[in-house]
Amino acid sequence: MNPGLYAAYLGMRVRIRALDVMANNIANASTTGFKADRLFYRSLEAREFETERRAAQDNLASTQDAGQDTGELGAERRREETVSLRALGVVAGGMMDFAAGSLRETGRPLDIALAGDGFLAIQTPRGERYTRSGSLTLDAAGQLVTLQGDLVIGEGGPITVKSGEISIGEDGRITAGGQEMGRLKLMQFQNPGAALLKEGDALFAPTGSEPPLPATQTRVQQGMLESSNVNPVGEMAAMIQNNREFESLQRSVTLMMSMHKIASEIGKI
Amino acid sequence: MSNALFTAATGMRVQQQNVDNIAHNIANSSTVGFKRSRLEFQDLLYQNTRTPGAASNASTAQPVGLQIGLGARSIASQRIFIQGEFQQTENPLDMVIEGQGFFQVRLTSGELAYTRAGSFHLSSQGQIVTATGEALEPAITIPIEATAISIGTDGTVSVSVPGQANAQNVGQIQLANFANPAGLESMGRNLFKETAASGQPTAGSPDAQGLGRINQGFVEGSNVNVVEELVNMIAAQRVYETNSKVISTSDRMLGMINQVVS
Repeated sequence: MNPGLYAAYLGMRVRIRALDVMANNIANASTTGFKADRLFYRSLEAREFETERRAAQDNLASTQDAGQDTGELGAERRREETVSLRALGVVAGGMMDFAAGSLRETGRPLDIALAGDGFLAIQTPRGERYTRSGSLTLDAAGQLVTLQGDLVIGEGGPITVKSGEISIGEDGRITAGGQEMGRLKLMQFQNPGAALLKEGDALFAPTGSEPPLPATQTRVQQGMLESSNVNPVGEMAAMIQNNREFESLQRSVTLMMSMHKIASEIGKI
Repeated sequence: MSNALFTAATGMRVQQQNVDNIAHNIANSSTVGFKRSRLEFQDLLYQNTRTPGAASNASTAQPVGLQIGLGARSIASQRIFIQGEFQQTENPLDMVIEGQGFFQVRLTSGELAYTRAGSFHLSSQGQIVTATGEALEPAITIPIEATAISIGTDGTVSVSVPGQANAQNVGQIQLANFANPAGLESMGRNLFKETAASGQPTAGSPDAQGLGRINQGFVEGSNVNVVEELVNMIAAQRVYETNSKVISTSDRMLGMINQVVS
C-alpha cells in the first residue's frame, strides 16, 4: 500500500476516535462527578508503524487465504516492503482530565461535593471502587449507598445513618441526631491517570499501579454536588477543528488516488 | 465503526428525560406537599482500547490508556424531601409536618399510603379524609355537633362541643417515617407507597422520636423552585442541542468517507 495513503488512513482513524471521545464527553455534560476524557495524538515511529501495518496486512492476508492460497511468494514480498518503507503516521492515546467540575448547591443533606483531589471509596461486589459523584442515598436498612446501591464505606466499614438531622462535616464525619455515625473514607492517588480506569456508572476502578493514600487535604461540602467538568463550548470548537482536519485528510486521499490513476494511465498507448 | 452517532443519541435521550422531569416539577409547583425530583445521570460502559500500565516494550509501561465511553444514561430520579414553604390557610383541618414524617392514609384497597400533603377534609360521616377521600390512619371522627377543631403539635385532636366546658379529645394523629424516604414510590395524587428500598415504616406520635411537629392552619407548599427549574431547563436544552451537533458532524464525516470512492 502507498505509505502516504496509509498515513492519511491513520489520520482519519484517530479523528473518528476523537469524535467518539467528544461525543461521550458531551453526552455526559450533565453527569455528576464526570471527568472528561482527552485524546492526544502522537506520531508513530517507523518501527511501530511497520508492526501496525503488518498486523493490518496479516488480517488482509488471512481474509484472502480464506478464498485462495497466496503462497510463500506473497508473504516474502510483504516482508520486503515493511523493511523498505519509512513513512510516519499518527495514533491516539487517551487521558482523563481530573480538573474539578464546578460546584452547584442543592441543599439536599445527602449530596456531597469533594473539594480537593480525593475520591469516595465505594464497596462493590467486584472490589473497592472510587467515585467523585456525591449524590448519595440510604438503603432500606439505613446504610449510606450510591444510586447504584453499592455501599459507601467509612473508615470503619459501611455507615448506617439513624433518622434525624444528618450533618456531614468538612472532614467527612457524619452525625445524625447529634450522634456520630462514621467517617467517610476519602482516598487519593499520586497519578490518578495511571492508577484509575473508568468503569462506567460514575465509578473508577484501580489498576493497581499504586496503592491509594488517605486524602487528608480533601474537604467534604454538604448540600453541594460537583458538576461534570465537560466544557460543551470547548468540545464544540474541538469538534469543528476535528471535522476540518478529517476533511483535509479525505481530500488528500482523493488526490493520491487520482495520482495513482494518472500514473497507471502513463503506459497506455 | 463510529460510536459517536449512538453515543450522541444517548446524550439526547437523557436530556429529553431531564426536560420531561423538569416539566413535571414545574407543573407541580403549586401542588400542596409535592416533593421535587432530580434526574441523576451516569456514564455508560467504556471500551478499553489501550489499558494504562500495559507494557509498551520490555522496560516501559504505558502511563495512560485509551478508553472510549459509550454515552450516558439516567440512573435515578432522586426525590428531594426538603421542606416546602408553609402557607397559612386558617383552615382547621390543614396541617403541616414541621420536620420528618408522613401522614398515613388508608386506601380503598386497604393498603396504607403516605403523604406530606396535610390538606384534609371531613367525609359525610365526619371522618378526616384527604381531598380524594382516603381516610387518615388511625381513623379520627369529628362529632357532627362540634363547633371547633383543635390539633396540638403532638397530633392530639380535640373538639369543642356546645354545652360542655372542656374540650373533648377525639384521637391522636400518628406519623410514619422511613429509613430511606427517597426510596418511596410516588403513586400520584400526592401519595407515596412503601417499597423494598424505603424500608419498613416506623409509626409514632408527632414531636417525638425524630418525627416532626404538627402545625394546624397551615399547608406545606410544593418545594419546587421555579427559577431553578427554568435554569436547569435552559441548560438541558443547550446540551441537547450540542449532542445533536455531534450527530450532524458524525454524519458529515461518514459522508466524506463515502466520497473517497465516488
